[in-house]
Amino acid sequence: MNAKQDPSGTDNVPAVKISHLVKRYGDHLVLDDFDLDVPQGRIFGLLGPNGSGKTTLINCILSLLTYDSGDIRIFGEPMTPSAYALKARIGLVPQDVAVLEELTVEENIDYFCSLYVPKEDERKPLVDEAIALVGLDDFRTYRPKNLSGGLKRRLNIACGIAHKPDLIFFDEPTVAVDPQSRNAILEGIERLNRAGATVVYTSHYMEEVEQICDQILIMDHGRHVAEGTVPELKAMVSTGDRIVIETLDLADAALADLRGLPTIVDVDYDGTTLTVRCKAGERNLVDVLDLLEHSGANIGHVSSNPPTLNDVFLEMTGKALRD
Amino acid sequence: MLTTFKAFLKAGVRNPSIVFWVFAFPLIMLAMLQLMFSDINDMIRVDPQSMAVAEDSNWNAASGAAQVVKALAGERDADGKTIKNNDQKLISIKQASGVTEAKRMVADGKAKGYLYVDDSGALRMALADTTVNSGDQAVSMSVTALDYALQQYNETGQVVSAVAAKNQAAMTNPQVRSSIGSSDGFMKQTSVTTIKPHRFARYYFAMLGMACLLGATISINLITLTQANLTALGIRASVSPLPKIRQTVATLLASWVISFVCMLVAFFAMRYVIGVGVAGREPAAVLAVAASTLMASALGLVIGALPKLTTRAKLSLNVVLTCFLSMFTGLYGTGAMALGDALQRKAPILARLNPARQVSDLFYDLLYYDNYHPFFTGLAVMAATTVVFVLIVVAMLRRQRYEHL
Repeated sequence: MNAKQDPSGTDNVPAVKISHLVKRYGDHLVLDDFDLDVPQGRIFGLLGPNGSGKTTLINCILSLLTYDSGDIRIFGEPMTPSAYALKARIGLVPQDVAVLEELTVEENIDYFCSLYVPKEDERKPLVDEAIALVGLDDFRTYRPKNLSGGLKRRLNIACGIAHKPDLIFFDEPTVAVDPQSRNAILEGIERLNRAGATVVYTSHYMEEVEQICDQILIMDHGRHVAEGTVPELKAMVSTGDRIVIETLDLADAALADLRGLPTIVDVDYDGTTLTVRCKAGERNLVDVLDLLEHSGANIGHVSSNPPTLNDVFLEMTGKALRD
Repeated sequence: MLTTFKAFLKAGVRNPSIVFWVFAFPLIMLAMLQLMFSDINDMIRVDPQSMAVAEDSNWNAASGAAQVVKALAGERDADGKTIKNNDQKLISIKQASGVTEAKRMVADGKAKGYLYVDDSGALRMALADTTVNSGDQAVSMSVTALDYALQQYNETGQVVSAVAAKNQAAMTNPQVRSSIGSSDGFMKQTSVTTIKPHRFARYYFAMLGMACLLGATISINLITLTQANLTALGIRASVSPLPKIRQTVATLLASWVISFVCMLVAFFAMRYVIGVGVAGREPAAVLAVAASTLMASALGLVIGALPKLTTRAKLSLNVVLTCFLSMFTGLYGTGAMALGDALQRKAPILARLNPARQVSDLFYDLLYYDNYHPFFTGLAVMAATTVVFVLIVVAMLRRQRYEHL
């Protein structure tokens, strides 16, 4: 892994820096004066709903797409289609599984690695390592058509990371993947990062992003909505805990009292479960339970969940992440 | 680049559609042509037909008639000498005492028809209805040839009578006698080549042209694997540090090697299984296969690099283009041959631009010309066409960033 041993000696420069990027498809503005700063050594999450511009952004960064204006730099150098030295330091795991159906698992990884590492003797251990990383040792001689969806995704990843890039783009690598493979993929990404690679991870699965990313950028309609660590993002919004209480005999008067509490945003009761969304605050649960106790309601199971990234996204954009 | 070449070589060889179109299809076409032409050979076969001969008084009066009929039966030659084991027979003779018996033999199915001499001394033929309406091509051919022979005999008889009536002395001249009715000098069998070419060689060479162009399937498939605007694999290849020009060269080489090997197999099958030769110039023919497949692979790159078309659409386009261009090589029959030849006469440059024609002409040049000059001229034109295709591809693939993906 070359990461964190930047040959240019510019360890402090961002792995990716984008300034004022504008991309239009005809009259449709896809990226709107977009800025991005990905520090080296991080797992950087790009979070946004489908169609928010994540893949377009990555394609612009990789010089696959033209853009109307702006500046893109990778490790401090301008990224162009012929920036072969920079390309050698980049890995891509595309959204669609991109492997040769006629080659075996090992042949596929070897081929894609050979685009970066021409010498066979140097390539062999890299291929073996990539196969081990994604857990495909038992499937070396399998053709992709004989692999399950999850295993194909793992192969897709191995093909993108075998050459040990310093910067890896994962574009929704877990779409349509079973939970077991998803966990294996996420663990693999964390291992790559621990080994020194900077990871840019796009997804619309907030749980994944929350699980593995050090820093998250939320985007929507090609715009930079918010950026920070998970706690920082949650602190940016007024949404607090979501309290869920099992109760069978809640009176209408008690519901009205609940709605009257100053820190309550929304109350929903379906006859068995009471769901209360609160603003940020430390006494929300106590206040709600006090009120229910005084109303004489019998209380069953109680849970209080902190706000999710979806809540953050909902408050910032007015819509759910999976819309 | 070498590993890309190897990977694409493996991918190509293991792709079932490529294996079919490039390897199996030419062999299937060869087998179909062979079947088709063997049927044509059957259609133009001449089998001896049993004919009753009414040997009545008219017959006995016409001494030449017996000689002609025996010649037609292969028993005597034109000079009346006996022939043994002659396989060039139009009829087998069934003797009858007269027309009545001859008719009975026909009615009984013992003869297809009967021959008789009429009152004017002319040799005539009457056929059974079943013979006239026979769907058997061999019967039709034999009866037509027989009718022509009788016509010749009767016309010669009329000429002899006319000459004898005007100048009886001339008939004493043996040279005049022998020249009457002879077609010597009207037709002469000759050969413009050092070897006897296969009578359907043109079809086989046209088939090679078609098969070569269908070989472009490989490069169409493989080049899409390097194009970011066409496949996800292309995105992966495009973000790699291997320059696009080297990926394109590797694609061309891999396509060419597969196509060349497959076409070589087809050529050897045509040459040694079916027996369509190239005048003993097999090494040059191998060179022709190599050049043809390289040109076809370059053409495939051009089609494969076309933007805004799916791979399936490009493959279909190649099939349509190949079928259209093959029309001018004469693959579809005599009408197509006439069209191709007319184009060659009226617009030779346009005809030369046709890649399918370039391929078939190379083999044609080897077979029909005494020296290699036409072959090497064709080879040079083909090389130039290949270079043009490659330049077009380079121009098309030069752009490495796209507006849309």
